[in-house]
Amino acid sequence: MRKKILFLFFFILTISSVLILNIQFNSIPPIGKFLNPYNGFWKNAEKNNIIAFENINLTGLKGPVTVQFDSLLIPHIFSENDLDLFYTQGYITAFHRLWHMEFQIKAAAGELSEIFGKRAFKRDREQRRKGITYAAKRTLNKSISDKETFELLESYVRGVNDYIESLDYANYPIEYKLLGYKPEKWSLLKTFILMESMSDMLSSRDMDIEDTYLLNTLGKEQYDMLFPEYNKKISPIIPSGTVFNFNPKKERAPNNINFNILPSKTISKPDKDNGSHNFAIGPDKTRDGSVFLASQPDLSLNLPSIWYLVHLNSPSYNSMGASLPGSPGIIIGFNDNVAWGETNATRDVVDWYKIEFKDESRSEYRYGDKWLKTEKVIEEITIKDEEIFYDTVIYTHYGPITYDRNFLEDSTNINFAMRWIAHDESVEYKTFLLLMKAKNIFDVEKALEYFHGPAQNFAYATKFGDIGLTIAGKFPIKWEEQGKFVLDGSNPDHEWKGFIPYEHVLKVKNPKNGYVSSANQHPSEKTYPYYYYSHNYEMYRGRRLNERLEAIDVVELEDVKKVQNDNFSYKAYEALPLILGKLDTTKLSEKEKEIYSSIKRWDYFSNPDDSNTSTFVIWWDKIRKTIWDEFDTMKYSYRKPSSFSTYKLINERESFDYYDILKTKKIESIEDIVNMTFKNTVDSLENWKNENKTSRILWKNFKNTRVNHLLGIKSFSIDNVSVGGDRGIINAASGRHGPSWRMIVKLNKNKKTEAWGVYPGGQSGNPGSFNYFNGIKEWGEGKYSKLLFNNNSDDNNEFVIFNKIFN
Amino acid sequence: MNFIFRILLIGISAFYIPESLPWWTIIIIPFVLGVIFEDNLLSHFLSSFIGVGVAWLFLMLNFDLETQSILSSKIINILEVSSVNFLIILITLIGGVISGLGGLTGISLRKNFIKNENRREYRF
Repeated sequence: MRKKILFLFFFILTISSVLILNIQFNSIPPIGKFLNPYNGFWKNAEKNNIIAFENINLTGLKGPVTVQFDSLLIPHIFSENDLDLFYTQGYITAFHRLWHMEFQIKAAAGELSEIFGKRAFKRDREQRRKGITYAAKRTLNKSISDKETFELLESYVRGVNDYIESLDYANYPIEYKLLGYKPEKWSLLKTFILMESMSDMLSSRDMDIEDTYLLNTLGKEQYDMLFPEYNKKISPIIPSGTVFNFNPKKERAPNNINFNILPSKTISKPDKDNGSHNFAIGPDKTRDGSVFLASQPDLSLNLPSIWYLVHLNSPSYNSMGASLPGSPGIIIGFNDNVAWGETNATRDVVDWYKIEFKDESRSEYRYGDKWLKTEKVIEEITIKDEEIFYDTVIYTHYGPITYDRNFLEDSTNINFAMRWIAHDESVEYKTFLLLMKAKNIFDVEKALEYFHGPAQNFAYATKFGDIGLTIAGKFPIKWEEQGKFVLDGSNPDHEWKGFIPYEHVLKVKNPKNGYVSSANQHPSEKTYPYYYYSHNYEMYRGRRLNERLEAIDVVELEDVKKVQNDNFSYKAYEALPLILGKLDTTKLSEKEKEIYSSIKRWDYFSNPDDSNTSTFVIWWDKIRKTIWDEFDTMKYSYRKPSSFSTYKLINERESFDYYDILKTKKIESIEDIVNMTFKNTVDSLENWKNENKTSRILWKNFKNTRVNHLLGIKSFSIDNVSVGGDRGIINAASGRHGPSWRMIVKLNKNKKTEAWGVYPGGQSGNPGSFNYFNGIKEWGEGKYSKLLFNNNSDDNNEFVIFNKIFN
Repeated sequence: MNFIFRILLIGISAFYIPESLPWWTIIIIPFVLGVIFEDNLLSHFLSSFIGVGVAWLFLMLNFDLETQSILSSKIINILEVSSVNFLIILITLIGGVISGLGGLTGISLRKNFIKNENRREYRF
């Protein structure tokens, strides 16, 4: 008996130990499974950059394909037909970025609760209620109509899936092992969700509900003064003075209705700094008659990087540049003949419609004198370790009713439907496939016709010396101020009035000044015959960029690099003299005098080792907070007048109600605020010095630019990158945000096309690769790598570290 | 002899387990050897522990040297372990203990169906 018990004891102990070591507990990975030396994390460590290539095995090819990797681990793919080309792009991208590809789709589609449980639930639910997947499905249905593009996309999907199928636990990316889940099959729908997620990041930021509230609270006059649509200082993308020789029918605004009952909370918004800059310089402005194209998207700084560089070559393509993992083709890049780059064309393409239901069943809603039927979609949100959550989202012909009683969890009868251009079916991928084989400026302009959104300012340049910029996207025709505030869904007059035809979109070609540029600023002067609006037009980078481009002549590569890495703070240049002039210097302490005399001599360059930027940034921030303290008592306190509006008002107004600080009895003047906040600023600086045990504040340390792993894992991230710049500066590197890719292309009729680029992060998304942190240091220093670009794989031979023909 | 032989057999087999098999297959050989070879519990535990422990130690030290701790140095941060060496020792212990338990299960099973027939008589 004793022996039996002993055996049972050991037997059970062994089995249960194994089981426990194989289970994930919250954030602790399954110990045995994760740590063992056979297939645990050890297998994700690479002894060099070449070793992993052994795992590449292209099984679904129709003809021979040559795959090469250069020392930056950029793949160069040479195939004999296009299907193989995109198949291999899919396979190789997954090889370097599988986890990243899938994770961003799950985030966009609102499926993160499957992995993280309850803590991702709120975000997931918002994503579902925005209708991201609904929009992707519509685009998927539409895509079947264009057979050629469809086949190439499918080929890409097959490539990704063949890579996934070749994996077992041992070679899953480390993140799957850490979080204890498995890669799922890729699909065309996921590729379309990726484009929707770009729309989400770049075009979904709106302030309609907040502004409706402000309009009700402040009144029209105050609102317009604090949040003006235009000002005299704008330097628009389409040069001032451009004459528009078309005159569309002016849409008359119906009587506006203001709604007083608004949602108690609004859904999360994408980062307001998501932006970019690009420019092209024509042959008359360059030393050797070449043309330059420069492009720099400013986004969240993440690891793995949002971009993946690739060179694709087949009889119909020879193109290189930055791709989005999960999307076929190249998004920002070049071929032998043309180069193109995008910046976000901010415009209000999200509107909210108040819906009036017929009855409690919510199956019909009023539209003019009719009742229209709704469609109910049940969203199934799987939550790890919990029951599935079912959320009913009601769809109208406008779009999903994001805000209703299900979501707001209160009894008020608020039903707001979202009308978002990204919900419309479209064929964006066709644009990029056409750009990749464009031969001249006409091909480029033709390709852009298919691009619907997220609207982008495409700058382009060609080998023949043409430069141009088109603000491409599908834009609704609106009456003045339509959609700036919440609209009435029951009134057909509040509907969008069709779309701006492609021949009327804003465009500039070979302008007299010899360059084109954009940096998320106003697209044009008010003379453009169509109404356009955004609450978020950039006021600083655009002006600086245009002034720089105007000033330089006989341009060479180094000049272009300098412009991209320009650290001049236009904001400080404008605002600092104004506030310094209001400072009473007779009453300063020794410490304050020291800071004052230092910042007085500042040249406004936010270089990494500069010590005045932090003073200005803190001071200006405190001034804005103090002036706009009235807004902190409001419902949506994050919507305050912009930095530029603040400067303008201080400049124009000696006295102003908002200068008063609410919590004091005294009535303050602007001088009071400036002097008080200066003293506070000096205190903050001293505190910072004490906390960080340093005697000097360097800008790079103060702002602490970080490139974080998507899961926020500290050892997979890099802190305190030495880089200058900030938001509102051309070199837009702020704390967690900045230039996610810098590209410069030089085109010349008599020479080979050359390109340079750098981005903060490696091609390999594997933290166990020596390539993982690649480029971050160089990126901070403004150094570039010359990109290897040949039409023939043999010419690459001596520059590549891997070279193999698959059949 | 029996003890040394078992260590070698367990150690070598544990060293060559392919990555396609789950890690807990390390318990199979110690278990089988436990069923086959008569010896006391402690001896079986130790042979199993040492066999797998040493194999794992070699495997991990080799990986870590080859890859210059590129990943292990990051993993210790996540697991809040103080150093890579400590992590390796910890994993070695885990492997050893699980393997030891496999050996103990084997020998305790053997003691259930092998009757007293050869209970130490041969020693006299």
